Amino acid sequence: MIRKTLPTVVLLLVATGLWAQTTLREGMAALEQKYGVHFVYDAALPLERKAVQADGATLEQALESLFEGTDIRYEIKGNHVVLRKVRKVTISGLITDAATGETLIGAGATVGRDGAVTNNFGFYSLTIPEKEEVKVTYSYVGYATQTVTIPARSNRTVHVQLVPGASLEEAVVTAQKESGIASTKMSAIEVPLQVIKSAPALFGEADVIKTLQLLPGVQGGTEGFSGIYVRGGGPDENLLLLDGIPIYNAEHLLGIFSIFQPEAIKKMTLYKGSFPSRYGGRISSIVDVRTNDGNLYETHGNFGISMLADKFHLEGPLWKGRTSYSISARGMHTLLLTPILKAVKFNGNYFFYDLDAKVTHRFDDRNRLYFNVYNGMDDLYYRHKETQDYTLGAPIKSFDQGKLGIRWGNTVAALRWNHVLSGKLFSNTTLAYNRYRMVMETEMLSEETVGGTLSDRNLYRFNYRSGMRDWVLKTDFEYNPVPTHRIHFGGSYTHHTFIPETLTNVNQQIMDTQVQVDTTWHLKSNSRQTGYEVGLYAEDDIRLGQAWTLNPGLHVSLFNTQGKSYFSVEPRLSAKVDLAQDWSAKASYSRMSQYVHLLTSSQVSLPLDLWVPITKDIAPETADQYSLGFYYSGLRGWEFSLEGYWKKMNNVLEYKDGVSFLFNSDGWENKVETGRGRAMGLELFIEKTMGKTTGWLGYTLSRSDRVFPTINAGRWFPYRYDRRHNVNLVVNHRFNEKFDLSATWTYASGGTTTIPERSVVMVNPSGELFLEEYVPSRNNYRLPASHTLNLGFNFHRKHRRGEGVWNLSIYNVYNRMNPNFVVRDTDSYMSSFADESGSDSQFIVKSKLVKLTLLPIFPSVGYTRSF
Amino acid sequence: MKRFLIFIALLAAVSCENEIPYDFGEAGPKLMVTGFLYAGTAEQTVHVSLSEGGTVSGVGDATVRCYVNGTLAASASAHSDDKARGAQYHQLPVSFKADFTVGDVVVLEVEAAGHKAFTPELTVPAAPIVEKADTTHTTVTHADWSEEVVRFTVDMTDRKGEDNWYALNLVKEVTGTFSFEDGRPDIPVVRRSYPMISHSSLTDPILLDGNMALTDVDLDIMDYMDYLGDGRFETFSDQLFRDGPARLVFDSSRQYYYPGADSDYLFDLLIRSYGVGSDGFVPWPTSDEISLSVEVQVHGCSKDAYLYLRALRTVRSNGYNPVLTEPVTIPANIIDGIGFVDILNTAAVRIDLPEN
Repeated sequence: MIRKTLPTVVLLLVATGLWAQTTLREGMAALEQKYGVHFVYDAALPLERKAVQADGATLEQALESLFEGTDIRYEIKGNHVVLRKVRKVTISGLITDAATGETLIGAGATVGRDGAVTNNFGFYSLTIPEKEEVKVTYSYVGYATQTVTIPARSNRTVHVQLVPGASLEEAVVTAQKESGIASTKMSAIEVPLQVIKSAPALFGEADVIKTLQLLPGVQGGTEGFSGIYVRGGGPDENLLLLDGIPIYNAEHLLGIFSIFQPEAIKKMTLYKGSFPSRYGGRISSIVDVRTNDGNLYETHGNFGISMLADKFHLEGPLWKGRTSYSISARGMHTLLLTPILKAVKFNGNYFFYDLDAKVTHRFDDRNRLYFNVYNGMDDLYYRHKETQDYTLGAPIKSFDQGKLGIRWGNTVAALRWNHVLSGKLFSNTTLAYNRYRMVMETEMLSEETVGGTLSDRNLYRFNYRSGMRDWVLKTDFEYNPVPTHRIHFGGSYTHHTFIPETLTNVNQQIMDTQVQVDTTWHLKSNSRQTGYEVGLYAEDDIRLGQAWTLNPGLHVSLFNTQGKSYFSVEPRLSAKVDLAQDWSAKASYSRMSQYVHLLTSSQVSLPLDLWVPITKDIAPETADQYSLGFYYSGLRGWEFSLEGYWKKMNNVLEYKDGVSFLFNSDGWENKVETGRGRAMGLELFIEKTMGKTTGWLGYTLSRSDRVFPTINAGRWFPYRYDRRHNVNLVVNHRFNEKFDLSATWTYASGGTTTIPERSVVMVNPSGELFLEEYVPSRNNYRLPASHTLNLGFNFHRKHRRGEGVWNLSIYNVYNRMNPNFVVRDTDSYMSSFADESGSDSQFIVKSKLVKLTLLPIFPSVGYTRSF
Repeated sequence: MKRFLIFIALLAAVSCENEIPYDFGEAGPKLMVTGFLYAGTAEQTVHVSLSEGGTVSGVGDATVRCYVNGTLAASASAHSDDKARGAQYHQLPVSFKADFTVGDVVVLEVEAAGHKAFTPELTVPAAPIVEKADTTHTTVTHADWSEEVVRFTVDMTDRKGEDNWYALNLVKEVTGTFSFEDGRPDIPVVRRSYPMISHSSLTDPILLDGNMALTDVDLDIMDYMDYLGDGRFETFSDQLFRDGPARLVFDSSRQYYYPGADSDYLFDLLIRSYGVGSDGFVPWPTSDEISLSVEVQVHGCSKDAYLYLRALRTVRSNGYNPVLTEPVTIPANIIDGIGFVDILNTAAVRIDLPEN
């Protein structure tokens, strides 16, 4: 019965809807008849378009309902109604912080249903129908909302300064936002800076990458370290951008810390899927970090000290209201490390530092110039020296010296020019230089002199260098022709120079005053490779009616290296529909390509990991990701989302069996194999955004595996970082102005490792036998799950100028012994035994898995003073 | 150097170490069957034992039945009073007579120690097409050392229209007779050994294809000798010369081929045959007709065998370190058991070398 009735009901509803629709011309004719008026209009007006039937008790109400949503304005003059096509006016400008002059990214400007958000440079453009005046509402999280009445008869430039406040009100949201539940783009999250700063800090150092690891879909790889693995992708598949410039090695101290200093950061956005077309070059995620421009009006700063590092931040005006600077520096102090090293008689040290500096100059309302520089380095050195004097017939002097030094780090410099071409068109042009370099030097020297004459000498000197260098020129445009369209387009050119490694060996041997060996060996074949990359993109944020928004886009790129060009076409599409009040759904498709790989063969990030480009024999990695999500925001201060994704990857790299990359990438193409990958998952995200208690709960159910022609006998095997379940709970509670507490609890199913199952005898074609350990498949063993509870307590004390904050953190509160490294310890021996056949001995191999926990319960303390 | 780096990583933090219990449910005893069968050879041998966790133990009895194209072609049993304790790795060899031709489908059924296991259906591959093999003597210079080698050049052609995989090894044969004037019986000399194939030439992309590429850096920094482990064989696919000709160029150290390279063996043979006389001297033959030859064997094999042999080469290399290198998966194809059996079809070229 229901089956027969339902289609009829649907047809009736549709017919009613159709019946309710009429053309504007028909509606006008009905009004003329009903009210006895005459319409006067230009014949070019589009009156055949569909309109909702005029409804209303008065002529004004009827006209309002008939022309709602059209760009036709009416004016009643006696018995005549004059119709005119509405002109559009554009209101544009900058939204800034009233106290510092810092531009606000993602701030909203809305007029009714029409809205716009500021771009990465604080610029907004809002095109609305011409009116006598309009009320524009400006809003941003953490700032007091402002409503400004603006005459709207012509285009206007309106700069707005929002006052920061303790208001917990929600900002007005618009689908034009780049991230968040209201955005058309799904799987895009703006990481709250407050969470980064207040989260429990290992060694007292807040870390942005570790905060990213608390989001669903993002895994941390090795426990406690900074790598991120997003939706089944590897650590090299994430594009880390510092003010739009890629960073290749973003880690210090083997990955315990990232290079990003929270004090310098203005905004950080993570894209896990639904990648905007302006991004390209990596297949798993984009982390877009924007830094502060500096306070335009007053000098402020802060300094801090933690268990491992000192940090310092200063910003202020060079020319009040026009030119500002921002400097952040952080350096590791060896106070904690040196006594330990001395206690174990280790003559060496390690430190790292970061330096961020930026100068911003505003020429006028239309032009701004930025210059920023980043330099960071890790330095490890060890020296050993010993001298012995003795006499054996003649005076003999013996000298031993050992040296080891490893340095690695990034240097980035960028010059950026913002130009407002018109109220609707904004441009940003960037010229940047980016370099990553690693140098390792070692020397072992022993000499013996007899009676003052050099008798014996052994010298081994080793110099190993690796790195890459980019020159980038790019320009981006943002065009806002009408409120329903926001168009981004642009292009870039990058000149890559890869230096996977240069290697020099010196070997000298003198024995009994005779030179035995004196060779210098220099590896040149792998010294340099260049690549040229060109990218073009275009995308449009489109609003269709009341419920639908679309973001179609296209990114095309060309990469040329070793005389071969690779051309990639990467369509992107996101769609959002408001299903009902407070309910929405999103879907997206993205295709991404990647032209560089990180060769790493270890469980943690090592400075010896090498960035290498694709070659004429190794094609770019590509990924196609399909996503679907449902969202609810009906509970004030809460956001709920459930997203699913399916990602397939091509030309992913994996190392062949038995390969290691330590010290040698020569012929690396022969040591890897290309294959396919797939990843799928469900991510639940519940976030509380308002009130004294904020935070989120994230749960991810995921799976990721790989297949290659000859690795694992051509069978699918779990990806190294395939961890089935991930739970992240983040809670921040502000008790009062003086004290707040932050807690994080993370749970992750065990990762994978490869473990031999038993002993097996193998044979070669000559019939010889060998006893080996039988490994049935790659990543055949699941490690135990990891979970950690971290607590952070922040004690605030206001001073006359600024504030002091003591942070006490406890990492791994209940001392869970999570496996940071897992190694296999094998003991083989002959064992005697006796049975019915007699006594004998047999070869026994006993293995055990040993886990190393680097980070058990670990309290930390740090102090930050702002002024 | 590698250990130093790991030490540094550990030094910077407190570290705790403890054991993760791991227990593979499938680690109970399994019948292990291992061996290569050869087309064109009547005598076949497989090795049987038991694998249980980290232990390999022998069996007292084993029976092998060989089915060719679904028909029982051979059956053989072997017995060991002491469960093969005297044999290498307690392997009980079971030999049977069966001849295979190209395209035959072979299945082995093995019973021992209350277990029964099978091979999958093994198809006899075609023999490679090897036209000729030549040798030259040359010297190869590395960073700070040089090596005298015998350079082999092998011309072959890939079979058209199919994917092919190959293995390559050298067999050196010393044959002859020791004769004595004093009337004692002659001593026959038959010695087969398997010289190493070295990578000092580094010139043959075909042999290096799919295998770890060696560079002078590897040879200089690491221990050169036996870097590629069981360097007595090589494996390669037809990826670089599909359906066409190929020239394999590889070296073998001249130390195997110098006159006198087998003198220790021959001397031991004399001692074993007639011992040391009361005067302390070893009876010396009055004549010997010792000849030396080397046979270049190119085996046609299945993809599974190719992967198996490549895995063997890798795990046997000095450069392989389970901590610092990628794991090596060992193929196994015995059903209801463990181990690997497959069929090779060999094309061989014999080269006579100067008298030893």
